[in-house]
Amino acid sequence: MEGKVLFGVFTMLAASFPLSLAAIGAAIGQGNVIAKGLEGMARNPEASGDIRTNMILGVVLIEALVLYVLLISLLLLFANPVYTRIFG
Amino acid sequence: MHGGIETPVLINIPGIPTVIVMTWLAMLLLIALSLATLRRLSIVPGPLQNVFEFIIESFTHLIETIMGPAGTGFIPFLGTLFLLILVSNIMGVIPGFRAPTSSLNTTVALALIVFFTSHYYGVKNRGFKGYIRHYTGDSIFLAPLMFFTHFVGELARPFSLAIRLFANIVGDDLSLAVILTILPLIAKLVLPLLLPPLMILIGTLIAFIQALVFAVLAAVYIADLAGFNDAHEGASGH
Repeated sequence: MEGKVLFGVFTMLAASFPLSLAAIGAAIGQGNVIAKGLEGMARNPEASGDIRTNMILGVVLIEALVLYVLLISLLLLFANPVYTRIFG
Repeated sequence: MHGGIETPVLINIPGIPTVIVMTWLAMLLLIALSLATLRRLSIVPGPLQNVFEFIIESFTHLIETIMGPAGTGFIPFLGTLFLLILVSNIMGVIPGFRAPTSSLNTTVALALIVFFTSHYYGVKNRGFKGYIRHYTGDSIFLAPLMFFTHFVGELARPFSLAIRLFANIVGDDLSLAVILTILPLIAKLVLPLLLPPLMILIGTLIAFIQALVFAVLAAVYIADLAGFNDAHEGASGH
């Protein structure tokens, strides 16, 4: 019983904490991308269409890194592969 | 511990997974809308025709800026991907339905279609020699290194394409479910009224952006492998 509780607590910690770290990094990166993109659009409004498409592409590619962590978190919470191996 | 959050579903056919039923519903909706529009085509567009014309015009413009004039032939394929993913994503927000894209099976299948399409057109447009040359680069000494780098990169593309769509939609549905189920327990009056509409708004936005991004990335991958951008870069150097 005690082992299961400990396992649950640490699983939740492991599922939630890395996500916050990933979110911090991605927020900084996306902030840089969007700031530079808007700057470019303000300087050259004619190219704003191209810049916007590429900006969204870049933002989404950064977003994917957070989503990998989210995937691992979901795996730990809902389909934990270690749980069945330890507790059957 | 297992299973996740199962939301109730409106239509449940025993023996067939819910994801497939939902995919059929999305397909049915798109086909019915398209047929209803095609039946009443006119020079002065009705409301339905107007919507479709708007979607197709802006999508064509977007794809042409990415792939260049050679990409016109891919607009039906990419547009179908976009519309199917858009409808499937939005189904996750509507109560009683579940997004087909919130299952890894659907997204992996879609990503594999894009993967094989891009490689098929890579071989077809460059020739087999040019296709290999695209991987190895021009220098023969760097060829092994370049080949393996490109190899891993190519394998990462469908993986990231599938995982991105899946994780976005699942994360979205899950946060919506959590807010709808847990929030009324801790906050009584104002928050349960205010937050769910906000979450639904964000969910719809994410659904649209993810569908668009999937189609745009598919366009980028196909254009990259088929070599549209090599010729396009010189042409668009204004």
